[in-house]
Amino acid sequence: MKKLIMIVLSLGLIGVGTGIYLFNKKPETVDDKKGINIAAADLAKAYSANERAADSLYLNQVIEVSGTVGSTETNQDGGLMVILTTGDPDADIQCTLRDKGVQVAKGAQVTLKGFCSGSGITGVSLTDCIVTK
Amino acid sequence: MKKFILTAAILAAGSTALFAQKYMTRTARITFDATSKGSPEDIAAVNNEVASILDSKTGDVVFQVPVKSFKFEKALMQDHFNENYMESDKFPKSDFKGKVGNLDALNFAKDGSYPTTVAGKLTIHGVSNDVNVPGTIVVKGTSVTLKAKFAVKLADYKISVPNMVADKLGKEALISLEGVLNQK
Repeated sequence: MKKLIMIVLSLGLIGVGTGIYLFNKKPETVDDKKGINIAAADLAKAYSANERAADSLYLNQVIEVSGTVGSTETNQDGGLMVILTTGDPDADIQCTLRDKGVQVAKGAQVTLKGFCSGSGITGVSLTDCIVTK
Repeated sequence: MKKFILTAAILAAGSTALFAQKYMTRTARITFDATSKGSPEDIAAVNNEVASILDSKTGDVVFQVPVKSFKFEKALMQDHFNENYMESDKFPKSDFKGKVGNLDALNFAKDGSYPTTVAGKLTIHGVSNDVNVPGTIVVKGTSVTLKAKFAVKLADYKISVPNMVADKLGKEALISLEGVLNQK
């Protein structure tokens, strides 16, 4: 009987522990995830050609995009958006960096890893990005 | 005479181009708060990746929001938001397309803060509704700041709140929007 109570209690504790863990878990990050490697120009082309098809491949997936930094913009919370050129001025790849204080120079060749949020009026968005190269 | 008409036409075209000013940003900020009254935790998120374009000549204004770029403090909230409520795999974008109401009262060449109302179509979760949003346009040099605060009824956009979470998640979401648009 004692053994049974112990088992039930242990299971209960594990359940509560898991619940608390899940409840407080922070949103996922890209660090340990393998991304889909693609050049900025190819990602832009895929979205320009067929947004729905591109979404089915890339939306909310981890993407490692490589390209040249055309410009950067600082958002209102002090985060940096890195805009990669694609050869098409109406279809940039815009990557918001996850960590503040990271510097990326205009004209530099970079590889950024982040979650793809899809395409919009100013280009294709990647969010929660880190610089991998 | 022909020359005169041609010159006039060129001048007219030139002046139209001069006044057809477009302002743009990729980093407007939207926050939403759908916390139910008395809830022990905040159901709130922020998105710093909102794109916006304003045409100061026509008054046309567009905001476009990548839904997946809303950031929550907790993974569970973010997952529920994307999967259960906004279905962001199916509807990855929310947007607003409208027109600034009192364009004549706005002077984009003069610094100042101008109250306005923007009327248009707000699309969330694949559902579009006509809305009138009061806001402020602040002109400073070559930049224009758009600010607005408004409430959205979740049911109007076919977002249903299960009874189980009604004590935390309210029936309305308060949206705050601010974008600093620069001349293109």
